[in-house]
Amino acid sequence: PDDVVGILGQKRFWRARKAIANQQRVFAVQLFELHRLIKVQKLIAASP
Amino acid sequence: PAMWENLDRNFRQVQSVLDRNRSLIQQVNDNHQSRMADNMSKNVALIQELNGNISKVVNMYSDLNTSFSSG
Amino acid sequence: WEGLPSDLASLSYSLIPPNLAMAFSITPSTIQDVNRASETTLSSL
Repeated sequence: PDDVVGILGQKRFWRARKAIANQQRVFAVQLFELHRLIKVQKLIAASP
Repeated sequence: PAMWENLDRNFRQVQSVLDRNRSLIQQVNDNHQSRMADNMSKNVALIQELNGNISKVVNMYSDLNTSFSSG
Repeated sequence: WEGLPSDLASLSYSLIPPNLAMAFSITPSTIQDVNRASETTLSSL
């Protein structure tokens, strides 16, 4: 992180970090949702 | 500045896909709740798009990582 | 209703590669959760 701060600068480092962390979190949620939705879709298809 | 611009551009691209996914998920959810046969058929396409978007995000991030490391 | 992706990224897939996570000092996900949630959705339907 030291080196990254050196390259990007403090402020941008934190912005980037926030963005990455947030996107990772949203991605995880969406991945979960995708799995869930497929499951639900299959379940519904199984019992129309 | 080039490094940051690159990162920033990547973040925005990813974010736009994530936003799209958000609305896709919402739509699929609503379609499920509606319990209409039409909507179930629509959901297949929506889920396909969602899955495609997910892997798109994955690719975007691996590209980001590569360019970040090399840069 | 079932073209659905078979193709799926694993639930535990981490979007951020480890070295990127460390570069930004980000600390880092089950199928049971999915089953539970989908059962819940279905039962609410």
